[in-house]
Amino acid sequence: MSEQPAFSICGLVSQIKERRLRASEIVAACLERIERLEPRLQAWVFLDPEGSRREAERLDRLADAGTLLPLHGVPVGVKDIIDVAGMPTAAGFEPYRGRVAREDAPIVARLRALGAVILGKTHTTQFAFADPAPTANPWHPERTPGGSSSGSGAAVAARMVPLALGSQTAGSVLRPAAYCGAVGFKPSYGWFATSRVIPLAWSLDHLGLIACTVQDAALTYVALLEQRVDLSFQPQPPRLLLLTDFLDRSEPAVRANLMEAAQAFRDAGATVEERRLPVDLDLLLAVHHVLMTTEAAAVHRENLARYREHYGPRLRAAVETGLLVPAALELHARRLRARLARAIDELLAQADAALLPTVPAPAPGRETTGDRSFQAVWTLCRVPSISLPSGLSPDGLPLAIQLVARQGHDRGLLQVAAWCERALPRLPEPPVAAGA
Amino acid sequence: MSHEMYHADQRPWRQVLETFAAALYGPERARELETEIARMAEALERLSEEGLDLWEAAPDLRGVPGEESA
Repeated sequence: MSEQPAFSICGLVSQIKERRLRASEIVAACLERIERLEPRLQAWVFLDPEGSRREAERLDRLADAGTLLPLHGVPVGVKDIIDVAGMPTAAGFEPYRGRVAREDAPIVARLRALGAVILGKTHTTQFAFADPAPTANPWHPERTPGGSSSGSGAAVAARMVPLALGSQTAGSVLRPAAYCGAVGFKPSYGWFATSRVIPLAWSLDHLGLIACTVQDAALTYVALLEQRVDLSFQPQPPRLLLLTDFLDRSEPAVRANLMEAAQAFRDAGATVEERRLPVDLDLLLAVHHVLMTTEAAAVHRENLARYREHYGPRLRAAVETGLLVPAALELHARRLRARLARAIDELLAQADAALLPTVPAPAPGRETTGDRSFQAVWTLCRVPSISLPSGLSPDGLPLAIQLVARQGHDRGLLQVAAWCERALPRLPEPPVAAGA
Repeated sequence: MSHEMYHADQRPWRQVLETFAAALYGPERARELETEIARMAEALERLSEEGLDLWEAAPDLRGVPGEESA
């Protein structure tokens, strides 16, 4: 897989630069596709077609005057917990409908400054937790797109937009990407300010990117941090640690797919070594669960008391249970987190990245947003992680591999992922898009 | 709060959480929270198996708005 698909950010940026496309044409095409597919997908909670067209026309005038920005004309969806000035931020919560943001979140402001066009807000589970959003999976209408960045994952996978913002407190960027057949990238904790983003758990919340390819995620990441375009990736064959603890908990199709991917990487020159985690996976998950639930309880305690009947059942139960945990145990979890993160760091330091499935099984039914256990570990340890599509299950649903690197080694991880992506099969368009 | 909470080998977490829940939310809601409480109790029991001595590092309390530099 060496070529960029035409609908990639890299492809669009190149065509804009060569004056073969205009921002207004790109935005018009995306809005038309959204109009066709949205009745089946419900990826968007708010769209601003007129504002998007005006912004695209402004960008066209800039281009005509000789100014091209790093993400010139790239249409973007924003998860509906992130403020976009002039658009509502409802977070799936009825009392917040019509609550219009006055200012962009810093990451949105940065995207606008880079020339991106914010088309609208994508559906989230309520407050980015686990009560399902109305969005469908583009591969099967009765399967979850994952959560909590449900609309973002579906919108990118269905080629409504080439880029969407998400957030991850357990698995909410990588899991929708995996279930929908897109790339999901969660950089290290704190890579971008989370102000004007509704929190779920402050010490676990990460902003993330969902895109069609690793190159797109990498281009966007560098542009956001350095305000320039960098397409100069020269990936080399990596050294990978295949974490077998996660294979033990995966369905046969997922296990087989990961082993095929590992063999493809070896055939292309990578070193892949099987390894066990240095700490108990269940302990990692227990610490994550205690921290996420107690912090969510602190975030939502007052709001729940005021608006109890508007809370989804899963979030309400989590908040009420989180309020029961004694503070000394929460602090014990926090101290254990430091010890566990050190052990994980020592493991990750032995290679370029760890390799494991993103999810233990393909997308389940829509009564759930899926299994967070394979993603939450890395969120807990605050390290960068990325999900890449790696094939289809026997019943035609996307499968995905996950790569993880040491904290702060985000660019290195992107290099590894770009190399791996070349050795993996490219998925076809999802059925919802193919039938449009 | 019962002193039994501090004796990990007695594994009282489910009972403690159920007692708290009944006191805070009433017995009916406490029963409705049974699954979530069981999951939390299991997590707390697992954490309680891990000892930390007095000289291990203080908890990392970063990540609260206003204190994070990113």
